[in-house]
Amino acid sequence: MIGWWNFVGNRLLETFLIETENKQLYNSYLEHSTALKREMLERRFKYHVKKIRIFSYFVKTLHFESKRFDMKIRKLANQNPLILDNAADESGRNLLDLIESDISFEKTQESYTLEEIIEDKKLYSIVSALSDKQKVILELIYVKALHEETIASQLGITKQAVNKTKKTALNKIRQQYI
Amino acid sequence: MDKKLEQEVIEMLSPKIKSLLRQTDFQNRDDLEQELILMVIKTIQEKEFNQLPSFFELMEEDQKKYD
Repeated sequence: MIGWWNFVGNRLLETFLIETENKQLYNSYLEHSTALKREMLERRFKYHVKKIRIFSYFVKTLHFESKRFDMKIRKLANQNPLILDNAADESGRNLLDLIESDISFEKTQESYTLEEIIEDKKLYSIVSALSDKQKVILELIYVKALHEETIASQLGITKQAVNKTKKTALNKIRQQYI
Repeated sequence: MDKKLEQEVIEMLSPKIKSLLRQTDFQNRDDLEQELILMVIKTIQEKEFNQLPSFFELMEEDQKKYD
């Protein structure tokens, strides 16, 4: 039980005893030790260690799992492309693109606009002050959940331009929102 | 004990899961969330733990430092 437990053990004990019920139980044991209290402390501590170990294990694997999930989705999308996603003509645009109504830099009114769904007062005032172009692009990305590529082809600009506008807008928001 | 452990771990992990969800497509978020939580539960149920340390042994080790 020696070795690396010296380093880790301390932290485990600390985090365990910081919890009120554990500290209380331990104090009560110190005042008057019984076999039952002893057993309870051991049991609770093992539970505590299990919890921490699982948590640390998952912090690493969850990341890996979500990457795997992404790949799976991508593979499925390629194997069974939705009809609307199929290329419609040589220009590479697909049927879905053709169906979508024309979007311009004027604000759309059919669906929710960005400003309508923001509840935070501060955020609202910052977003309202953005340019129309920035607002439209943020809306298409976050409210309508369109891909940047789709947005680019609809607006007749490059996807880099879409991305740049998005980033500039988000940076502006980040800087101004304290 | 297992149910409680599952619940607590999932609660502890929920911020991490939320941040991973934001990285995926809007439409896939619910699916991903389900898959991740399922994976967590499955692992908890199947995981065998290496020898878990004893509280009192660790306390003794800790005390020794101050002797």
